[in-house]
Amino acid sequence: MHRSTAMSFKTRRAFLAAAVAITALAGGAMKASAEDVVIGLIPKFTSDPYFVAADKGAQEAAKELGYTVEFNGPVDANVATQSDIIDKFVRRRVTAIAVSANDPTALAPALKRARDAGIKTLTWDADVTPDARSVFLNQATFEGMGRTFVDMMVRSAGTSEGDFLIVTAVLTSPNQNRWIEELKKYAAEKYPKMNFPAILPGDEDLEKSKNVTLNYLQANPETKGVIAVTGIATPGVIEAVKQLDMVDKVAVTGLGVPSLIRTYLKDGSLKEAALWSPIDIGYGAIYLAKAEIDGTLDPKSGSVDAGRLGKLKFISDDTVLLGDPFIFTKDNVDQFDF
Amino acid sequence: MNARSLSMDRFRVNRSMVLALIFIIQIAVTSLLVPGYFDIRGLLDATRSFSEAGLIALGMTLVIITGGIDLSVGALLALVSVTIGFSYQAGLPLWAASLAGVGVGTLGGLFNGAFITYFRLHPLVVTLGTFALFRGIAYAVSDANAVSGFPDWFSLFGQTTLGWFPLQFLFLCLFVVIFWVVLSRSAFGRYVYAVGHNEVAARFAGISTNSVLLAVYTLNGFLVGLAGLIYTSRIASARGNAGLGLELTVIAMVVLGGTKITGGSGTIVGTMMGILILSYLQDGLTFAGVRADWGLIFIGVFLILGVFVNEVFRERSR
Amino acid sequence: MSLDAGSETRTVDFAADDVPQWRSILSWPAAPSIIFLVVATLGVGMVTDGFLTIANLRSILEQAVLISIVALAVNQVILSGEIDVSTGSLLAVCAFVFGNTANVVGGAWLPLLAALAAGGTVGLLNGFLSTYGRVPSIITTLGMLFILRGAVLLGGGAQVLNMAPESRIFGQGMIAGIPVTILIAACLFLVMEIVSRHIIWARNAIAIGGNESAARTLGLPIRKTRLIAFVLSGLCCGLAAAVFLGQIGQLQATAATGFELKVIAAVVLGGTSIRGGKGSNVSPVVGAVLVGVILNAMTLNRVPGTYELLVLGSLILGAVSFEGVRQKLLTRGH
Repeated sequence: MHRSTAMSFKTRRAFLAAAVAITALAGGAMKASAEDVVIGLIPKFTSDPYFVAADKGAQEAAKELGYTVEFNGPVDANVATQSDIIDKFVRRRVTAIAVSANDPTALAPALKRARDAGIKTLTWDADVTPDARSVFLNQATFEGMGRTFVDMMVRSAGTSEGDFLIVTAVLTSPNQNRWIEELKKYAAEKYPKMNFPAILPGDEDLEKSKNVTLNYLQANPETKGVIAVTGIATPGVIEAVKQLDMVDKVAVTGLGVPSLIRTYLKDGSLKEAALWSPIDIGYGAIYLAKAEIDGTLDPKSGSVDAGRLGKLKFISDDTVLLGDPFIFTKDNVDQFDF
Repeated sequence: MNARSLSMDRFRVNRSMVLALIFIIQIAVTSLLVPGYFDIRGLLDATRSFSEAGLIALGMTLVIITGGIDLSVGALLALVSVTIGFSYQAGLPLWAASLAGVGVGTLGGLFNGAFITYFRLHPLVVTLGTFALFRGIAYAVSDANAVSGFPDWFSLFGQTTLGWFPLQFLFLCLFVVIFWVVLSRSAFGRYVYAVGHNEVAARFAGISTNSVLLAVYTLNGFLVGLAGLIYTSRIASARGNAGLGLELTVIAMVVLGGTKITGGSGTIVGTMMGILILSYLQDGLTFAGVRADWGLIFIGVFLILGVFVNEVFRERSR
Repeated sequence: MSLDAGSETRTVDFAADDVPQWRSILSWPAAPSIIFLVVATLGVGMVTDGFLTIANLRSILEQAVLISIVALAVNQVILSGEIDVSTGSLLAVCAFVFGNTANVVGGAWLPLLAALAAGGTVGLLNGFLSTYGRVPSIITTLGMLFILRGAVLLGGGAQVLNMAPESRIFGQGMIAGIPVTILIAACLFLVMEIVSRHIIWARNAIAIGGNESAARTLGLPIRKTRLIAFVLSGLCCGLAAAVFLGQIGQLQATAATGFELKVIAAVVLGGTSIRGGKGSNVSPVVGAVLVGVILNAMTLNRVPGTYELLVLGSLILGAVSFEGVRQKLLTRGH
């Protein structure tokens, strides 16, 4: 390639030989992968209390079952990184991969490659196309969440008539979009005078969620309430309402992560918020993986054994439900530490 | 070539040898520490994730040799991807959409080059603006949506292998050879170095520096277009947040390879080494289960370190 | 590495006696931006309901405060011929320092001190690498942007920091009817103005940014001057972090992502030349308000947040091209 003025031919040959020797030694020194069960747990992104709690639950299940659970994911909601991590897990020859997907179709090729390599795949919290995984652990039915949001809002606002703002994550979040669809459907049937004139994206950013709410409420002061359909937005929305001194006029409810909303439940600016237990969903995902690995996963039996969660029900051929949404109030929020 | 450039050649070769040694040691150490890592199939498989950045690094090498920089490559990648996806969704046949994507990439590079040469603005400033502009357009066009559902044949670019080698890696190797020839054996390559050494002197020597700069940035854009096509095919999805942070990785690859950030010197071989070292470092870390957040830190450190070390070398060789 | 694109000498910003009046006003760096700001505000106000209300204008100013605090410092960095794109991640780091200190000792002043210390230290590192380390500042600060963000994500990703009301005093409340945040920004502006007029360092910064080789010939302490600018940038990130936490009350590890772009946009939109050597303290403040107005107008008009980046990018490109054209116009008659 280059003019060999720099090194003599002999030196280059010796150098090459040494390089080959080192590499061969290294290759020979490595041992075969362990026979234990290793499960790759991939969240939407890693730096988030919700997903960290899911990991906690997963590690709890892993300890009970004697598995190893490896938690790795992108730092932001990036599907390319998730795809790469799946490929790395495939090379590691893990036993199963459980992922909460940033995009339902983009991860399918990587997951299919995993399946081709004999690795079990399942999803939790956010699904992919059904052909890429054996089962999806859904934390709540979409109708259930929609209903819960609407009922909570009517209770908090004291009325079901008027305009209500919806603050969401990014406009393409699949879970959020289904919930919004369901809550609108439910409201149209039960509370026809409930209007939802706007859906604003908070982009999973606290400051942004606050600012969009601030600007909207200033322009539309007759708004009766704001529903925050993603956990990160809720504190931002409440801050906006508080700053405008509209706590008594505008009710806030929505998804609530206890550590984020504790202060607001205590000071009354938030009455109710709902979530499911992320610890439980991580825990459940590992048990679901176990059922798949053991071959005991059978939709016809109607349920899956999930350790301390009891039996989780199949709500369709390939979806298992975690349970009902849990409503946090100032009375019960202290029991939770995530 | 006179005696001075000969000694620079020696320096260049030495550095590439050092880098190659570092690379081999890196792979060896990782293989020793992490069971299961040393698997030829697996290591080749890893090339799938970095071939796109590698392609762009080739173009970026030329850009940096001329003394400039291009911060907009990640954003342009997103724009290319979105173009492919959304024009396909709008009804354009996929092959045409793919061409459109590559075309958009080339135009983006041309846009950068035109602003830099016509308005006489510093590349840093222009590409900082286009860094936001391109991604902004990508977001606006896609409206934060994503397009997927591409036909199976589309995965040709990003998901197939030829024997054991992923196709995009072979593609990368091909371009490495092409660019090596262009940079070290053609007149254009010599002009690129000349402009980087001393733009005013080059102009006085009769080189049309504006054309050279324009060509370099457009070429970079073209490579981003190709990379965007491969990326979209690999992920089978077109979305606006593709390539976030890509510019950092690409620049780090180039400077690790020995290219001076101030311009005037650098080689394709060096860049190739930089690509391998950085990519397999990340690969090894992820494989070992290290959290992706560390990856951010590592790239940043290597970027700064790479440039810092280059500066130290510069003092030595005087 | 100076951002000076060539070895052209630049005329210093004195208005000669025989220069026509319009030209001397035009040569005031912030002039076009102020005009643009007034026009934009009135224009948006005419087409958008609810824009020209006191409440909305106040909220624009409050949102602009954060940007202007950091922009005032980054302005100095750019004036001296360098650049700093690490401010977003640095803000997050300082916020974490502030928050964690507040959790341990309570109050707001000690945490502020801690945040300032953190910011100043990183600023020192940035400056040192960029001057004595001879790493171009774009590389240093770009690398830092990622390193700091990784550190924040790792160290604080799972943490939820809730601020007690007593720790939020820098971002909430009013004194004599004026919001505290606006007072803080105003004070900082006054301090910067005094520094610019009376402290030699500031004069040196502009001279160095304007013409580095001339400054070197004059024997000005180039590296030390730039180093101080970076430290200042870091300190202001610390201050901004205190305000930020006061306003938001809670902290995410991904906070302030993309903030650095808004800061740079504010500085260049305000009229400071990105090449260095030309600008005043009014520029970043005007620019910050302008950015605030535009973003607010977008929200009120229900423009999706996805367009925000597009707008910022176009503004930056427009501003620097305009600057390039203006340079040509101004130097033509001399």
